[in-house]
Amino acid sequence: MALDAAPISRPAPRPLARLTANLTPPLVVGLAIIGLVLLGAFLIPALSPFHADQINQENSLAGPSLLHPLGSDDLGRDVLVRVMVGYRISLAVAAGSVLLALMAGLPLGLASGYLPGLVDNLIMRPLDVLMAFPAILLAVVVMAVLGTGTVVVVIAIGIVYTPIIARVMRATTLTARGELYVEAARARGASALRIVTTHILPNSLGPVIVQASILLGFAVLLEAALSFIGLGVRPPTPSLGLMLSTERDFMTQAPWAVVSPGGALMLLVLGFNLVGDGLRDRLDPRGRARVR
Amino acid sequence: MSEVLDIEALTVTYGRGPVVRALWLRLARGDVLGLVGESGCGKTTLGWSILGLLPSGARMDGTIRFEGADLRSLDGRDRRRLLGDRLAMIPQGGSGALDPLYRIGDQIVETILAHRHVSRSEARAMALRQLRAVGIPDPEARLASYPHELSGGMRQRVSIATALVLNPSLLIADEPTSALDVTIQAQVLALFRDLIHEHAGAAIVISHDLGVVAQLCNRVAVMYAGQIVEEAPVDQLFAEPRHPYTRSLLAAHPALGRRGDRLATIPGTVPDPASPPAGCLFRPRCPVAMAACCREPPWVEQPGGGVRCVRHAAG
Repeated sequence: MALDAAPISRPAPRPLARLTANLTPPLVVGLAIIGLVLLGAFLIPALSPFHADQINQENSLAGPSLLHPLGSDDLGRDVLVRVMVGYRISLAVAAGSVLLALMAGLPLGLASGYLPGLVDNLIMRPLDVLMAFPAILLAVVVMAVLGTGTVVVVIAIGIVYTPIIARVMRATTLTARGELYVEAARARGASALRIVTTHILPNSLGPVIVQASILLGFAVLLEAALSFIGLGVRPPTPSLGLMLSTERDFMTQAPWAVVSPGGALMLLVLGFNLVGDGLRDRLDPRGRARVR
Repeated sequence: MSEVLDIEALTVTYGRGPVVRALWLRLARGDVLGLVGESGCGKTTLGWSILGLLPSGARMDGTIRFEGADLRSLDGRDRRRLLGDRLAMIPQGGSGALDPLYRIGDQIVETILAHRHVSRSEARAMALRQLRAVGIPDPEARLASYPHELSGGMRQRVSIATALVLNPSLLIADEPTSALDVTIQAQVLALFRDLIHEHAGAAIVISHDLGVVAQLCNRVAVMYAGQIVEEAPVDQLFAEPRHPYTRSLLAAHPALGRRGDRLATIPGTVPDPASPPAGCLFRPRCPVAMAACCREPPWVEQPGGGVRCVRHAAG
């Protein structure tokens, strides 16, 4: 017994050290970008003397100045404030739609992964059909049925992303259900529901989290695209896509009014993608060897 | 009733053919039966079919009675009530049987709470007692450990503790020590033998390692291609193996201190379930096969067991 009676060395619980060890460069940069965006989206409109919808015809298409750091648009509105308020919409739509996709996709993926055969086919074949449509087309179809507006955008993007989440969840469920601890749980008399919720779901969340963080970036883009073609957020609510769409008429006179929302969009998507990349390095089993 | 398990004419068929063929097996209280045989001869399938947890697509015929009750007539809820409580299993490669995301203590406590109406602190005390019984040092601290913080031998002990904590009437241990290295294997085996007698009514130890069986069991059943070809008290089987397959298995077992000779092997492989040979299933590989082996071999009763071979029917 002497052999393994020796106390097993356990790393001292230093949560801070463990946290920083997980912070790879892309994750740090991505989190920093998203942090700055969040900070700006909530602070700048509150601190600025201008309101996002405050029209000032005399100031139409004014270049960047101390008072208007990113200039003003065709109606003399402050571009910086509008971009930051637009960020709020982007973030809210992205978070809401991915949350919706998770709420629908996780149970569907779990069920189809754990119950092969009939249930699997009943769930996955319709989802495959949904996946066959280009995202924007599917979103347009949903909005044609439900109408426009911010909430409908969230629902439309949520529906578009549900099959993607469900697929990832199904794949990880298929792997997890063959694990020995799942068989052991069945041998101890655990019910199917209990096995799925307490053993399979927590053990397969890693890839789903990665997928969700990447989808956040795509959701931002999709919302902007829908707003750009006039199907998304309705004016005067400032959405980045909507700003791009209206200000492009003045692109030669006032490039700042177009470049600002465009650049803002790029920055946020870059942030989400970097976070997704960083998380994948940590959470994806295939990437693990590279990191350690 | 002293009969713990009574299997009659059990046949399990996967898509391609029968993996277990008309198998009869009886286990009384106090029996520790070793189930030996090559890979693919149906040992593990037999274990899972007793639990009623065969993969979908498997077909099962025959009856399995556990403490007098027909297991196959139980519905899901009644069966789950039995599993982990009176009928427990240590699955193959048992050290992976712990969910990496939960503390050791919680996994044992949850099993107890699922089957017994006790408080969480009582369940914790039971878990602690059982961890101590399987020889885990500093069990208080180990309750709060995650599986990755334990060595393979420790995890295997936890698996054993989990299976035995509710004192099952029947324990099925599938290759309980094959994932362990030899030094730890010896420790776990010694401990396991005592624990089976203390905590379990009866046990089936599935193993391809005759040494393990010799240490743990009082009876041995040798399985070949889904049939039991020989069953005997453990001493007798090792001293006087009757079936040619048993002899080949024993000869293929490496012995310490016997050097120089090439290790004996059994030529060929276990027959494909889809196209078994006619007559005795071992005939194509049997060193002493004869013409009579082309007919179905009889089950010849012997003291404490029997043998499925025509050579012993003559007497």
